[in-house]
Amino acid sequence: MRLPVICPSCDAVLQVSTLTCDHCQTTINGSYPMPVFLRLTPDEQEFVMKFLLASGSIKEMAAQEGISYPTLRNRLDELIGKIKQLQQ
Amino acid sequence: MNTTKALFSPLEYFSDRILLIAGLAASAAGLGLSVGFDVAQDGIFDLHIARLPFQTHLLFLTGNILLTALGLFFIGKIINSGTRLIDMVKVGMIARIPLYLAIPLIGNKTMISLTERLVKQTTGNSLPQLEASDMALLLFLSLVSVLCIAGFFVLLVNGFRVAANAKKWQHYLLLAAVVLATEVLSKFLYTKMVALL
Repeated sequence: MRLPVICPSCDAVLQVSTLTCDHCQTTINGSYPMPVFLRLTPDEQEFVMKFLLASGSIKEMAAQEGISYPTLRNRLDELIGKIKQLQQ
Repeated sequence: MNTTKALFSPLEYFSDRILLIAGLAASAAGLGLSVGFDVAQDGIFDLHIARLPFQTHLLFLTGNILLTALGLFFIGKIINSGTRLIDMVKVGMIARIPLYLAIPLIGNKTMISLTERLVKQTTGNSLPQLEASDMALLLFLSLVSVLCIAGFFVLLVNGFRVAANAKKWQHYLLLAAVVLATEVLSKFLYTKMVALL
């Protein structure tokens, strides 16, 4: 199941308002901002995870994915740009 | 993978190892074709019929690849500091593949004799008399040559776009200026170097 991060009604970023403990059913209500990582698309999240698991090596990740180094670096540059924008 | 897209922008879809092997193999084939058909690659995107020694063909080919790579790398660094020379070398090698395909067409005996006949006729006062088959052949060669040059530029521009992450129209203007400058520089350098050989 995919976590919704954008309001389907007005396109604003959603806030986390309820957290529930699966074990004892305790519910916490509040208004927590959505972490930047969760505001990325599932593809972008997967890319970040793969990059992390490749020890942050574009070269190694490019070899694993079977695509060229510049293609991967460009994707990473775009993602860095998006994350910087989300942080503002 | 979209096959058409991969064909026109290989740097985007294939791994570094495959691109390097394909580039080196294509360059070796291009050199072989140049020597075999007596077609000199005496410019970044020039092909001329000329009987030359092997080392001159080798000089032209390596010169073309290196000058293209260095020119692209120079502007690539201005656009994006992460640009690598090796990627531009790969672009320089891969982009020449369509030009290699034109070599057998330009350097085959039928085409050479047709060109010689045409040159002989044009040196006189009368207009050249061409048979329909000769006209068709010339038209075919012209069309294929244009397609090969177009293919060279498509691969060059797409390769540069990926290797330097070029996005703005100014980047492409810069690319056009560098390609023209490299062509002029190659002509100048080759004339000097051939005189020394």
